[in-house]
Amino acid sequence: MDTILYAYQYLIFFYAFSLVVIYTTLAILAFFKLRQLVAKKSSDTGKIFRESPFIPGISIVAPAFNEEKTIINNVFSMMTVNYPTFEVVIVNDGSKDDTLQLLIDNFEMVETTYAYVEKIKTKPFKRIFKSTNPEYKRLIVVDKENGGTKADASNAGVNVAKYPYFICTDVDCVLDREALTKMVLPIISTKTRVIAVGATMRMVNSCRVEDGVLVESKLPIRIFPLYQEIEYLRSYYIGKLGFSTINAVHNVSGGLGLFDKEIAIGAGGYDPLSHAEDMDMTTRMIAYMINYQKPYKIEQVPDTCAWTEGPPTFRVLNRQRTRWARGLFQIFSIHKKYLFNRKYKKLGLISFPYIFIFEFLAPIIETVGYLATIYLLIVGGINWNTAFLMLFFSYIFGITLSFTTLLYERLLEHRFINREYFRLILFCLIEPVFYHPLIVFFNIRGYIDYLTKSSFEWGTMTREGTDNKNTKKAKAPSIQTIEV
Amino acid sequence: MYSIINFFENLYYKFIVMPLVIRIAIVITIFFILLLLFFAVLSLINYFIKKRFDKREEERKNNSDCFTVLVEILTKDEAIPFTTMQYDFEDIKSRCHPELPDIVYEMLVIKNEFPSQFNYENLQSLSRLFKLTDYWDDKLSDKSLRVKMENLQTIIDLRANISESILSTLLYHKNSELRKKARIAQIHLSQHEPFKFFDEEFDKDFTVWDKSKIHDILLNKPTQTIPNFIRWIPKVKNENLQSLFIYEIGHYNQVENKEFLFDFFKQTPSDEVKIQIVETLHMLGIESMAHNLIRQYNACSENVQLCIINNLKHIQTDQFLLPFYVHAFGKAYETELKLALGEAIYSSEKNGHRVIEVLERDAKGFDQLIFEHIKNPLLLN
Repeated sequence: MDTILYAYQYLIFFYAFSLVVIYTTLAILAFFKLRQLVAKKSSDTGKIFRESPFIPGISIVAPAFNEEKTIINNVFSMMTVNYPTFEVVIVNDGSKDDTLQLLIDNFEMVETTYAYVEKIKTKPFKRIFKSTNPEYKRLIVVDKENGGTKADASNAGVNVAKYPYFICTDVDCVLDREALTKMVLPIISTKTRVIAVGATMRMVNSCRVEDGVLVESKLPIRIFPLYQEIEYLRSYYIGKLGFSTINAVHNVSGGLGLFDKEIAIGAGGYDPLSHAEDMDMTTRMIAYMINYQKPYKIEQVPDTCAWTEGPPTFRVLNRQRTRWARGLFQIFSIHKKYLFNRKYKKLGLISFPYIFIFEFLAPIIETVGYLATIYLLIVGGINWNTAFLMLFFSYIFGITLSFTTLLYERLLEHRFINREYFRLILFCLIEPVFYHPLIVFFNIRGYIDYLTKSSFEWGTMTREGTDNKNTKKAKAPSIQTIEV
Repeated sequence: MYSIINFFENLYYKFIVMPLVIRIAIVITIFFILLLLFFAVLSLINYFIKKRFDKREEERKNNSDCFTVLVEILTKDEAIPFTTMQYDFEDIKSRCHPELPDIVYEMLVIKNEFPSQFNYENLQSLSRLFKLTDYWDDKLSDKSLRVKMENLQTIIDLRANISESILSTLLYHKNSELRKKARIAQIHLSQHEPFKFFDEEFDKDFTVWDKSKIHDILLNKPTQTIPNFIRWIPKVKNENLQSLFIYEIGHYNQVENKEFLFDFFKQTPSDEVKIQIVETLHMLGIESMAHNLIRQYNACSENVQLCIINNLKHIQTDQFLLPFYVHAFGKAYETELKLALGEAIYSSEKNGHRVIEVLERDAKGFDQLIFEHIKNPLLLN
């Protein structure tokens, strides 16, 4: 037993050491990318976009399942983006509430004939709605039978999308008005084919939203969305941005991702059986490009392009995280052939090994660590000096990483006031002892759920809308002002 | 002194006998503590810099007289003669900010606030009076890449004049962003060879975004200074650049190039270029080319066929197009192409609706849905 524990301690140390090296490298790479992007910024971008005949059209695809609380506001948010050529495709995935009726009433929609081609297989498609009001000509609503997952609904949206690129987003997301411009820029400013682009997302919980447009960005008041904000920033500013510098981004978030439609369809679209449909499709798109020996790129945009509702309560956070964990487990059961496979280049030798060792195994290793600590406490086998040093080492590394993220955010966007930054710093300081163990627990639960094949359906995230009292809900909005 | 040395010596010997793992942990921990301290100092410095910047910005805003006088000049309908402006210069100068970067900043603000009224001729005169050319020459010679980039962008935004010799130092810069920006600036700044880089494939990293930026620069140039783009089309290899030239031929209505474009359509293997040619022919008046395009139709890929149909359907004549559409519809198997052909038939002036009715009678299954789709006014493109 002692030998096992001894070996385990060494293993853990080198595991933590590798994490330090990887994250420090990613943070440095991300810094250079940020600097490069800041230098590229031009005040004339919007004007050039409006006047250019060469900018590709984009379809915004948003699946909706029981979203009556937020649907009108958020569809309006999608309709008011500043972009020359786009359409909004809302997929009603057999909602049991008034989601569809609200869309029909508010946007003057009527059922219409449509030559629907099933490029990607989905649950039966029922009908298409278009608006009789020319103001909403960009909106199209697809009504289909419930497919049980967001992936199935997204596929139906992709089947209807008419432009060469599509953005897949959640219907509860509030899009930035310049989101499409910012996300398409990496596609049109590089010679290599960019198959997907991710962007930063933040929490909308305490923000002020008027008629579907975010007018004031605020740090979430509640604890869980606030921690999710920190997590998101860390993931986007360091993880994904760092990986994008070496073209090794492994996941374009399901909340907001821009995809090349031809490649997405070629790769089979979203897998309706997947619990992590975003990562699953990104992986298959990369594999598709490698199999056909086509050069590709996946880019990450550091600018905030969407705001989404963070889990407001413990129960919702639990549901969200166990689902993510199930998805991660499933990814490795389905795509294990890519792991350490030289044929799949960066996917097989960098991205997948990284996720497997440092994301998938992390909760297991940490849980074993907690158990080993309890055992050592009972048998009195802890060297307290070493233990404190190691704890301090992990803690100081963790908070440095979070502070680096805040620094990057401040340099690039500076969305908060000083008081909010201090609050963020304070919460970063207690994150490792309060929030992190919870996430480990939810992940382990997710893995157990997956192994025991517990049932899973999408759309169960409880929507509460923003908790900002000044938020105004849109009612039959006019979009005349945003025509470009 | 001795005790300090002794202290560090002790520390060193204690450290050296520790196990490797502990030593690594200590080094990393110290490194991150130092990094955190560095962040703290950086944040403090940043805080004070921002405070100073805010104060300066406040002062700038309070000195609204500068903004007012510049708005008066830069949004005036007619050009103010240079001599008149020179006469008033002392007064203008006394009302303006003392620092040149602040004046340039105000100019940019005015340009963004009054884009349609902005008088570039008056800006040139002001630039001469404030000796902004020298200021920009200095900035473009700066060591910092960021300073060069920012100022070159300002120069492009304001369409300001700078000396060509300074610009030429950036035209072959190793940083591709700066190099391309300089080459784009050359198009509207150079008096002698503004289109020099069209002969050289513009840049090895030429992208769709560069295409859009060049188009924007061309839009800002007087129409009489726009060249005939035909001469570069066979010369360059980059498809993006070729399609830019082809698009500009249509945009500037260079009708004399129609025949050449059609010949090039037959030669080029690129679908992207072919599509651009069809769209340009549409801009130039596609009627006279319709017969030729129809002859090429079967030899084209689906995307090009789709483009041909979408551009031909605007011609309102049944004589030869309608039979062609009907024939092509019978042969087509891709839904998108069938929809385009169906829409073309349906929009044909006289017999379109009748032909669709006949075709619809014989249609079964999905084809029937295609006809319903075509006739649906809500789905018309």
